[in-house]
Amino acid sequence: MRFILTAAVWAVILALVSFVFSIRGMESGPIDKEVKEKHAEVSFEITATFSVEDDPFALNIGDKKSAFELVLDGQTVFSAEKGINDRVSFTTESFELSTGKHELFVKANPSDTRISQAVRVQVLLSGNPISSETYWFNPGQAVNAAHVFEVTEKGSQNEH
Amino acid sequence: MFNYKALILTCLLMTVSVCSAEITVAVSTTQIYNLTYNIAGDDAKVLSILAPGQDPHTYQPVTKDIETVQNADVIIENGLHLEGKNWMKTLAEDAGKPLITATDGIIPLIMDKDGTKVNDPHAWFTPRNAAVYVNNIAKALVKHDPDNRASYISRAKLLLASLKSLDGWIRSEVSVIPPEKRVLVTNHDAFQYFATEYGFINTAPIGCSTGSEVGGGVTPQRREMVVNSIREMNVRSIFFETTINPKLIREIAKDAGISIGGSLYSDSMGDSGTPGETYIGMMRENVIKIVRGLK
Ligand SMILES: [Zn+2]
Repeated sequence: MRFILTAAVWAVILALVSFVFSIRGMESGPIDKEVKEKHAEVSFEITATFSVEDDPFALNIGDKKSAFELVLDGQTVFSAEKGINDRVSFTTESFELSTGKHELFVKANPSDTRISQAVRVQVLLSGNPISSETYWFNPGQAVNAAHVFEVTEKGSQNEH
Repeated sequence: MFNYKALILTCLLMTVSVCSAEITVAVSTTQIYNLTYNIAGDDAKVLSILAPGQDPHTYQPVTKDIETVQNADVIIENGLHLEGKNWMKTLAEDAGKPLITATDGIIPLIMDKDGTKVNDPHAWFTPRNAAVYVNNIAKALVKHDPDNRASYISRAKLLLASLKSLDGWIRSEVSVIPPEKRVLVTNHDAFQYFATEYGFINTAPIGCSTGSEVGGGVTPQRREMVVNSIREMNVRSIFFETTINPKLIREIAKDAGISIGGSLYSDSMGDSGTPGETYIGMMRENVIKIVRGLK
């Protein structure tokens, strides 16, 4: 008798738990889908205080590293050996980004080690600037700038 | 009776010697020695023909040098005729071995040698050019000893990073000397690359090779030109070089009525235990003396 009672209580608990999960699944399922589908057309305007040319202090054996690189959320999306000019802005192609936080990492090795160097990152949403930050580096220091920004339904927000 | 123990021992010793076989690198100058040593680490034996203080322009090889080059796997020279009468090239040719030229890829500056235009061989005096040396040396070591490729590459990268930071340090140090005071007067034209890179005017009474000092001495015209330049430019101090007799510079300083800023490392690096025993130490010591003497 005690066994039947315990089994019945367990059956009721399991039924309640599965009911609650099924309701939550019905509520959250379509919303998650909706969030994943929200994308924004984002591009980046970059301005550096240095020109990019071959690094005279690079080791030219094996894999050659790019002199200038943009890494978006861990993926290299732009790299150049040369062609980037001092104080001349350039804009990357557009990338489809989901809403939420993202990171653009700028890596460069300015060959001119005489002066401090800077790089300005501007995030453009459908061509309109929505966040901007300038990063400064000491003479001889490699450029490593992590620009974190958030794409919301309304636009992007600078995290710095 | 056949001695099996001796045979096994011999085989073991041969195996050990084959496993630990390191390549030998023979280089001409002390600057190339230090750069090569930093890339080679414990994976290769590096031998320099010149000892600290010896002059590459006037050096005459001895029997020991012939043996060193004959027993080497890799032979490296500076090139651009730094080694007077191409003595390192001759040693390599006599040994029937290929020669690596550390200055390959450097665009040489031109200097006047008795009215003739010649390439300036003192290319190591900028960290940027030293980076070309490092690339050429590392390539040669990797080619001859591919088993240690990863070690050579990682040491070369570390050395290049140090050269880059040395370049930034030199620029920041020399920036305290007003541009009109950046006149570098030394015994012979060893500092043209340094002067061009860091915005100095460079003048020297002997010219581009110390060989001319041994041959016919300094021309009176050249000496007068240097004294006049010193007076016109209001130079505060002049420098002599560690490998050359300072007598001439002392006389010029007396004639021009100025002080001596000290001795600079030029065609040879310093003895062990001195700041000039490494490439980076030599460059730093020179810059400290130049800045102190001219600012
Ligand atoms: Zn010289």
